[in-house]
Amino acid sequence: MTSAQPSQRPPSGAMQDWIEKSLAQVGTVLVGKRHQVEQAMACLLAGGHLLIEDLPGMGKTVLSQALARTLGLSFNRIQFTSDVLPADILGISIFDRDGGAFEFHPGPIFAQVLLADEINRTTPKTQSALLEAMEEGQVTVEGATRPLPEPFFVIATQNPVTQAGTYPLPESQLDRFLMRIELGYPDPAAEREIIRGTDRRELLERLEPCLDVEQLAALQQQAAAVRLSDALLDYVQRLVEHSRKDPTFAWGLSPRGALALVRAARAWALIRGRQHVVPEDVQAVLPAVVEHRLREHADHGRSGGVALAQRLLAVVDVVN
Amino acid sequence: MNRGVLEQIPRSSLALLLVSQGVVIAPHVPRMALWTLAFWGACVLWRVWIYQGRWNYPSAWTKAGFVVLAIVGVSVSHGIQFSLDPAVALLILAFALKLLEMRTRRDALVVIFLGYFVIATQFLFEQGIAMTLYQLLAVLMVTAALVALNQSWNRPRPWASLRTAGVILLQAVPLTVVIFLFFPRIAPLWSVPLPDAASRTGMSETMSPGSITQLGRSSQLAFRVEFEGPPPPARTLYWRVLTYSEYDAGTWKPGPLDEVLDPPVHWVGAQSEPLWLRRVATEGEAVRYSVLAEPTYRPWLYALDFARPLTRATGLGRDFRILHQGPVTQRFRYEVESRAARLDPDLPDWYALRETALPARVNPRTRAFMGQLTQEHRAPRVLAERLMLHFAEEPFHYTLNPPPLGQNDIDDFLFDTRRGFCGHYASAFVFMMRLAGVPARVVAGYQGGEYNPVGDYVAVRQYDAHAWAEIWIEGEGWVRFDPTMAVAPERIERGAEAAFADNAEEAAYGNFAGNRLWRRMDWMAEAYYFIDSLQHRWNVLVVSYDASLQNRFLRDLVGEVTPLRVAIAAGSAAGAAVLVAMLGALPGVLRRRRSPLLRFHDAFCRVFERAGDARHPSETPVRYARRLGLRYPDLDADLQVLGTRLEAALFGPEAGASQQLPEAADSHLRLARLRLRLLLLRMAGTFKRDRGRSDPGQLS
Repeated sequence: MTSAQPSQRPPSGAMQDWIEKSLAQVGTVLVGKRHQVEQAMACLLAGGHLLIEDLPGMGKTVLSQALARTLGLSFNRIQFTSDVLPADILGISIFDRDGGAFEFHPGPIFAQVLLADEINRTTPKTQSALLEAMEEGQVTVEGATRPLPEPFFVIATQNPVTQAGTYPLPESQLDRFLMRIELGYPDPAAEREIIRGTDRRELLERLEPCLDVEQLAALQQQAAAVRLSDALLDYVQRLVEHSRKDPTFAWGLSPRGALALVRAARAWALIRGRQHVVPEDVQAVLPAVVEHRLREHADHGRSGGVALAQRLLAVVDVVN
Repeated sequence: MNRGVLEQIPRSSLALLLVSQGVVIAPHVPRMALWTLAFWGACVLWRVWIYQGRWNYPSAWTKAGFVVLAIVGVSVSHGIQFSLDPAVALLILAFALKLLEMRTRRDALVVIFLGYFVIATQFLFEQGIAMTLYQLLAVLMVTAALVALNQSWNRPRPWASLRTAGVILLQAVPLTVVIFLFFPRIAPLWSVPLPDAASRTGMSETMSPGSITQLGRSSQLAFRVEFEGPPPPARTLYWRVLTYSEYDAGTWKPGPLDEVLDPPVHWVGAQSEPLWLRRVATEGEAVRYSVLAEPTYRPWLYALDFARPLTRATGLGRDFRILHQGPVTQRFRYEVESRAARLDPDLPDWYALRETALPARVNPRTRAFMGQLTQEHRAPRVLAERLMLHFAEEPFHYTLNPPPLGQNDIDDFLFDTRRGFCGHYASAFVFMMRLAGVPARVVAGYQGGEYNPVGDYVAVRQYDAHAWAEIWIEGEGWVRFDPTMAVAPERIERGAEAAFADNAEEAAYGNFAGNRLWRRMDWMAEAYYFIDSLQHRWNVLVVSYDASLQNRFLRDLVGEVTPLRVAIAAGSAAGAAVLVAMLGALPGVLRRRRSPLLRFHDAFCRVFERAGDARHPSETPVRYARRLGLRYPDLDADLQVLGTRLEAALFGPEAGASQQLPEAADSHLRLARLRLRLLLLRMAGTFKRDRGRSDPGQLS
């Protein structure tokens, strides 16, 4: 753990205000989804990518756009279909007649927040191009390596209902998303407000950035420096070990999964205004972090991860 | 939480219970009627269906019907009698029926304890080492069911229960050994007639060779002998069991043993020696050995001539065999001293008369033959040797499946069939000697035996059973003649098993083939001897450990046996046993060397776990303390302080690697206070509630 140097950082109280303000502002657009907004924020602060699995029209686009605007980030959206090719998202070099040379036209991936809509509708070839970019933070087109903007945050969505004509992401690629969340229907009061209120798109237009890129970078740095006690590391290790030993689990969590759990828990602690992680932080992020990484032995419907996460929470001892 | 859920039988316990019931009943199966098994299967099926919700519990009338059915069934298949087999059958049926009214934990406990009881009953029938190991397995299974019954919801795996049960049993072993050694061996207060003696193989009270056409012989063990010093060669080992003196219509029977003045049996420890015993002239060196006899349900024992038994409850009979007071119903160990001797150098007239008595007018051809022979040879010994020569020269044939003989059995055998086994030859020999006026009798017993080099003992099996002849010669007493020796010397020289195994046809009638195959290879022979000697050790050390052996053991241990000394010895041994059992837990304690902080956390949780408020695994100290605070508002202050302190030390920003308990003295004080106040609260709670619901930790 790298030791934090608080003197070079804004005081944590100010950071807390930034986070609270951003969350509140996103909350005005995406009404009644505080927990999901916090999860998305934690994912962003931890420097990971987010997978949202939900029906169309639940506010996935609104969430990602609101986040981008509030944090002062550039936003792009790709709607995936089966005929989208890697070049369509990465960009392509076109011969410029005037200049007499090839000129690179960057694709939509060159944005700070990228909404990859219905990622499971496109071919594995295109999927892997995107996921590679997510992992590396850079794009290689026609031999030239081009860095992606900082920060780079991908929100991918999947439609869980219509599976016909889709290419489900393999486990190895699901593993690249730090979290997988569902938005779910809004509660009646929130829904009433949505129905009565102004069009979401208009609201989005009006959002002002709460943070600049430096502030966001500082927050991300701070999140990585949240303290972790030995007892808590023991707890995380017990969780991982249980997932590997319990025969109900088809396979255990990878070291990358364990790392993701710790990163997400740190960001969550920061959102909660703490400079140290407590077990509740781990428990809060655990379902979102591990559900898409786990599968039950006897499960062929790709739904067992939910029960397994609950099992980990119920069975693994916090202290022992 | 509602009581019904608490009282339910967990699934893993039910499964273990059903499996262990099968394991417990299995060894009884050979003795049970087939329908009993079907009855049990039906009960199990029904119980499983109840679990699956397909069927309901039987009504009271149905259950009563089943009970009547079981009783009627047992009396039909076993007859109405007071003995062990029907009693055990009834017990097993009750055991099976109990499944059908097993609703709550309490009922399951009854079934489990019945299981232990059924395991105990199996030892009335068999106490071999293999059976004991099997029953250990059964105890393990039943204990696992008991463990599973008491396990909480988050440990539903039967393997975990089995492992726990195994650990419990291992811990019980030292104490079991101590109790086995020290617990007084009390004679039974009552006795149940033991399994039918008639079904046992072995010697019988009478011998009628003519009516036997196939002598089935088993490899079942008769007895084992340990010699002090090297064992004598097998061909000299004639184990006397019975003498047959009376012949009638082809059947030999033992004669009455009555003496006029002296008792017919001289029991060990009797005051004066009878005259007939005093007249025996011993010569030569004594051979001492101890015999471990298998139960025969008859009083007879085994010894070499001339034997003086040394163990209590045994005695020497008038015909120089040794006997046991009452039937031998369990393995019996006794010591004997044998030496060469002249038995009955003077034979009383009445005795000589009895040993020459023959029915008139049977076997005319033999009479004629002997009439001719006695013309040529007068002296008994010469005559006997002439007869032996006759058997050797004429085409007599040794066989285990002889043709049947008619009314004049000796005639038929000597002149027509000339095929027979030891009984035929001994019978014919004695008949002929008596015709010549020489006192003669048939001796039945065992000949030879197999030396086990691993265990250094001789094992004698049922196929070693043999019959030979004894004639009385003036001045020499009783002299043994074995006519079988003349016909089939290999039977004596190499032992019954080897002699018959060469002949496939013969072997088919005996049970020799199996044993023979065993020993075809060297390592198999080793293994065979090893297993046999293991069984022997087991019988000597464990099964026949009775009051007298216990007494001897105690005398070796404490010198003079006084209650105080025995109590001290038993007490310290029990203490040591408990210590040994606890020693098994030591490595676990050492391995999990926990920090003071974690130990304090454990202690904190344990206090409330005993009160029924266990910490959920996912609860952090603060959340646990908060929940407990709601549950016990009086204790809230201390709870919150300790909860916060633990949480901070474990996970807080200052939490270090040292994991020390902050403010240790104060924390321990608070914990002690909590413990005391919780105890007081619970006692007060118990008084307030009605006595039926004694658990104050219940929230409903």
